[in-house]
Amino acid sequence: MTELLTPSRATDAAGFLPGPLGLRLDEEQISVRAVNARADRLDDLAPLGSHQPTPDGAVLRLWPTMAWAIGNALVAEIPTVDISHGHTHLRLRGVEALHFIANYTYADPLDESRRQTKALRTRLNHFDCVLWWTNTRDVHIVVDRSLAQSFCNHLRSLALRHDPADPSKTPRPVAPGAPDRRG
Amino acid sequence: MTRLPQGGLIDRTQTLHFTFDGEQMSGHPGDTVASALLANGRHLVARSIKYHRPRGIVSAGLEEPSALLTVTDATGSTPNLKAPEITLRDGLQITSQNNWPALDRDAGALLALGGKTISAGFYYKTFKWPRDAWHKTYSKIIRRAAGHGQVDPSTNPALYDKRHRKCDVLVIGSGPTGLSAAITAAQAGATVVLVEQDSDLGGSLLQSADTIDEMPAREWAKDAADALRTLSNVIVMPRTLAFGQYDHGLVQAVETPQSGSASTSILWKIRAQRVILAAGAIERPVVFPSNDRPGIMLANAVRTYIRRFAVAPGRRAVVAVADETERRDTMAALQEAGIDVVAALQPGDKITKTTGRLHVSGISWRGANGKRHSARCDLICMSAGWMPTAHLFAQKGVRLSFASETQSLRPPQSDGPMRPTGGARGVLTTADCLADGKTTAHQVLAELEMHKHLNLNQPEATPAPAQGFQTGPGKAFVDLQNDVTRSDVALAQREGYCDIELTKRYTTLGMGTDQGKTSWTNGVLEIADITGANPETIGHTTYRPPYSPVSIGALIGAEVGNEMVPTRRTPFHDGFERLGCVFQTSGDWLYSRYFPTAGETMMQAIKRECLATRNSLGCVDMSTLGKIDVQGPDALEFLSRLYCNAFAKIQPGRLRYALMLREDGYVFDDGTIARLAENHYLVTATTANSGSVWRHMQKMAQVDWPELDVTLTSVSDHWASLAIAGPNARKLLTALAPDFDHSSEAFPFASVREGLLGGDLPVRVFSVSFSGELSFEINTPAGYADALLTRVMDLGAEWDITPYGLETLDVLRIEKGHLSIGTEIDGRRTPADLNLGGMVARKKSFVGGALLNRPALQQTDREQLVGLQPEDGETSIPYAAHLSQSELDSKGQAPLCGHLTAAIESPILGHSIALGFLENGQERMGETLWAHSPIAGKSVRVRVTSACAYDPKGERLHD
Repeated sequence: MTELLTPSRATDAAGFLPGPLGLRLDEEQISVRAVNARADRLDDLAPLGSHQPTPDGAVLRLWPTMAWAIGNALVAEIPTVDISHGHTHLRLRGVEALHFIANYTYADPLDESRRQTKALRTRLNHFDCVLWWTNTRDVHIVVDRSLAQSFCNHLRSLALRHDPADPSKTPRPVAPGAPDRRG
Repeated sequence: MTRLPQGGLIDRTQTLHFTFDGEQMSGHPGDTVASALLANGRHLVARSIKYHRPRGIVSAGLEEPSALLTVTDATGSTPNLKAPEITLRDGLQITSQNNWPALDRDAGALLALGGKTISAGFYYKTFKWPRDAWHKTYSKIIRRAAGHGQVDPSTNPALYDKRHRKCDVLVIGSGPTGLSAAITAAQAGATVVLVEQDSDLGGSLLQSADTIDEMPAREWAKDAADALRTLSNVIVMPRTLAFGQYDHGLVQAVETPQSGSASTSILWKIRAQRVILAAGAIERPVVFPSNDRPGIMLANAVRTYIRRFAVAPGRRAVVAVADETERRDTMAALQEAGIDVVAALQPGDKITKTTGRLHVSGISWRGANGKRHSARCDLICMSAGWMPTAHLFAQKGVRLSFASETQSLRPPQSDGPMRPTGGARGVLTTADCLADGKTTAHQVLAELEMHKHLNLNQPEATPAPAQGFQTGPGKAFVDLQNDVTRSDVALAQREGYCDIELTKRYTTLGMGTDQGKTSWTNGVLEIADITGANPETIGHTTYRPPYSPVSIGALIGAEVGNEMVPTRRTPFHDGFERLGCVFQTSGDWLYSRYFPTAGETMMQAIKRECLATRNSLGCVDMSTLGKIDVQGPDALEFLSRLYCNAFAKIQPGRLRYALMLREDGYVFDDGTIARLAENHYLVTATTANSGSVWRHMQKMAQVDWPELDVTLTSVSDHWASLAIAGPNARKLLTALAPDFDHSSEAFPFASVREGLLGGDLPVRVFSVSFSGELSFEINTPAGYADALLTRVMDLGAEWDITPYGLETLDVLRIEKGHLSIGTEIDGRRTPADLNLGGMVARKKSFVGGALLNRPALQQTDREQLVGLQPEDGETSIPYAAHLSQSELDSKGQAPLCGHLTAAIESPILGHSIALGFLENGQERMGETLWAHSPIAGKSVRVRVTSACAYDPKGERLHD
C-alpha cells in the first residue's frame, strides 16, 4: 500500500524528560513489518532473542513464530504484514538511558545475555514494550500506538523521581569489550 | 544535655534543630531521633497503648516497642514511627502520641488504677451488652482512650517510586556477617547487592569494642564498606529495609533516600539467585516487675547510644545482663561515658521491683543467698539473651524451632534461595560472624558455579547464658508495645487459649508495629514456665511481610492519579478533542462518550446524535475493535474450526458476521470475517475481548492445530476505523472519492474494498453496520486517522454529519437488538439463547460444538433474548429490572422469570425499550409481564417483543 501522506505523531515526545538525568525522549517514524512463519524457518532468519542489523534496517526476533523487519530489511520468501502504524517508536537518549529503563523493566537489560543481544521484549511497569539498543545511551523503545502517549507520560513521571546518578549505588557501565569477571 | 564531649559517629560541625511536643531541641547529622532525644535529656517520650504508662526509649533499632512517635515534615505527618528508625533531619516536628492533656500529665494514666480488671480479654468480656452499643458507643470511647497516632488525611505531595534490581547474591545486613559475605561474593565476581536498613554500614561493629585484623571493629567496617563501594559489581544500599521475601529469590525492600532526594522512598523489587540473610539478632529484655519505666533499656542499646551517638543515657546505672561477656562490655561502655555503675546483678538474682513515676529511680532485688538489695539509679541496662532475626526467612512458611542451647527460635538448615547466616542463625561473636559470612558466601558461590567447593566449617550457634534472672510478683511486661503482662499470658492459658495462635489473639502478644520482635521469645518462655510445656513444642505464629511497617506511598509508587493504569487512546483522540468530545474510560480505553454543543446536557446530546444518524449522517470511532490478520493456505480451515457458523463459500471482497464459542459451548465473542484475498482474511473481535480472542487464536494455531499453515498478526492498533452511518452514508463515501466502484450494486452490504480515497489516503472500507443504518467502516493506517477525520467532517458537512460516541452507539444498537459483550454475551449464553441458533453449522466441527450439544444447553425453556416495551407505550422501563409474571407481594418479592440487560429511551421510537433474557422467551411474544426494579423502587408493565425494535427487516441497511 503506497503511503502518500505524512503520518501524524502518536505522542508529544520531542525533547528532554524532566528531572536531573538529562534524558531525551523522541518519537520517530519507522517501518515495521511482521514476519510470520514457523519457528524453525525464522531461526534461519534470526535466532530467538536477537537484533540483527541489515544494510537497510534490522531484523528483530523476540517471538517464537514472528520477527519484525524494521526499515527496509529484506525478508526473502516469507509473507509480511505492515504493522508500522500499530506501534510507536521512541528513542530514549542520555548517559543513563538504559540504566534508567532497567529500574522499571521486569527482565534485566543489563543481564549478561542481554548485553550480548542488546534486545529485549519485556514489561515496563504496566506497559508491554520492545527494547533494543546499540549502546546504553541510546535505547529504542516500541510500544502499542494506543498506549504510546500514556507511556510517555509515565516515563516523564518516573524521570522526576530520580536524583543525579550516585556512583556509590549505580554500577558503572561495562565497556562492550570488557572481559567477563565472573567465575 | 547528656551529649558526651567526644566520640561517636556524629558530625558535630553541624547542628540540626527539631522540636519535641513543641520544645526546641538540637542534634547532629548521624543522630537518630532517639539518640537526639536522649542527648537532650528526654527519656519520657510515649504513653503505652492500654494503660497509658510512661514509656521511654528501650532499644536502638527497629525492634523498638515503646517509643512510637508522630513525625511531621514538609510532606505531612506520619504516625507510629519508631524513634530509633528516624534519621534526624533539620526542621522535624516530633510529637508524642496517645496522651491528654500532656505527655507528663496524661489523664489516661488513671486506667492503670483498673489493675487486674483491665486484663487480657477485658473488652470481650465487658462490652457485650447492649449489642448495638459496641458500634455506637464503646468502640468510639475505646479508640479515643487507647491507640497510637492519627493518620494525616491531607494529600501527600511526596514522590514515591518502585524499581527493580537483579543480582547474583543479595546480602541483607551489613554487620560482620554481611560485610564478610559481601566481600567474599564480590571478590569471586558475583554481582552483589548489599542492603542495610541503617544509614551507616557496620551493624553491631559500630558499637563494638572488638578488634578485627588488629583494627578497631568500627574502622574495619568502614574499610570494608569503602572497599565494597569501589567495586563495580557491588551495589551498596544503605537506609534500605528488606521487609519481605517472596517466591524465587524475590525480596522487597524500601529505601529512604537522603534528605533532599527527589523520591521520599523507593520500593525495590530485588531478584537474586541467592540471598544471604545477615540481619543479626535482637536482644531479649528481662521480664521483671515494672520493667517498662523510662530509663530501663536494652544493654546493647545503651552501648550503641554511648559509642555510636556519644550520648550518656543516665548517670547512675544498674546492669542486669545475663551473659558475662556482654555484662563486662556494657560496664566498660558505661565507664567510658563516665556513668556510675551502682550495681551489677548476677544471674540467679531475683528482681523484685523498680521505682519512679516518669523515670526509673531505683531497683530492688534479692541475691542468690536471699539477701535483699536496693539501689538508686536512673538507668537499668538489661539483657536476657538474643533472638536471631530470621523473620524474613520464616515469611516463606518455614517454621523456626526453639533451641534449648540458645534459648531462642532458630531457623533450620536451608537449601532454598535464602540463607540465614551469622546472628540470624544464632551465631553471636564477631569472629564467628565473620567466619560464617565467608562460609555461606562460598557455599552459595559454589552452588552458582562461580567458585569451587571449599567445605569451610560453619561456626556453631552461641549458647545462651546458663542462668537468667529470677523475678518477683508484680506487673511484669512481656510485650511492652501491647501492654501484655505475664499475668495476661497466664490468664490466656487458664482460660483455654493455650495454642500459641490463640494466645496471641487473646492477649495481643506479638501484635502491633514491632510484631513481637522483643517479646515473642519471652512469651514462649513464659508459656512454657506457666504450663510446664517444652518450649520446643510451643512454636510460633505466622511470620508475614512486612518485617517492619512500610508506608502505603512506597507500595503504590508512581501509580497515582493519571498514572494509576495505562490509558489507551484511539488515533482519533486529538481530532475528537477538537470537536469538543467528552471522553470516558472504558476498560483500558479513553473512549469518546458524547459530543455536546454549547449548553447541552448529555441526554440532549445523545438524543441529537441518535436522530442525526437515523435521519441523515453520523460518524463514530470503531478503532478499539480487535483486528487480526489471518493468512495462509489453511486460513479458511483455521477460521472454520474457530467459528461456529458456516462461511466456506465466502468470496474475496465479502464478509460475514461470525460467532465464536468457548470450548464449553457458550458464546465467547462475535465479530466479522472479511476475505481480503484468496488466502487472506481479517477478523474483528469486540473491544472487550480483543486481547482474549487474540490469545485464544494464538493458542489454537500454535498448540491445538500446529498442522495448519496459517499465520496470525494483530493489527488492532495499526488500523484506525471510523464508521459513517445514516441514509446519506454512501453519498459521503462518494464525496470522499474512492478509487473503486462503490455503487450499491458493486459494493453491497457485507462487502470489503481496498483502495485510496482522494487519490492519496489508503483505506479498507467495510460495508457493515452496528447502528442499523446504511454504514461504512473506513479503516486507514492509524497515522492517517486525523486526515480521514478531517475529510469526513469537511465533506460530511453537506449532510450535517454528527459525530457520536459510546452512549449513542449503545442506544442505536439496543434499538436494533444487537449484542454487547458483558450484557447480552455474558458468558452463560448459547447461540440459541441469543436468537442466533440458526447460525450454527450442522455439518462441520468447530470449537465448542461438542459441548454445545449437551442436553442442558439444548433445553427449550432456557432464558432467551427478547425485547420489551412498556404496555402503556409511555412509562420508562427501569434499568436492571427483573421480570416476573406477578406483582410484588407484601414483602416486596415475586417469582422471577428473567431480567433486563439494557433499557433506554429511544429517540427515534419515542418511547422506552429494553432488552432482556426471559425463560422460553421466543415462545412468549406479546405476553405482558412485570419489570420490577427494587433499586429504582419501580414496577412497570411490559410487553414481550422481538429484540429488534427498529427496522426489523433490515431495509435501511441497503440503498
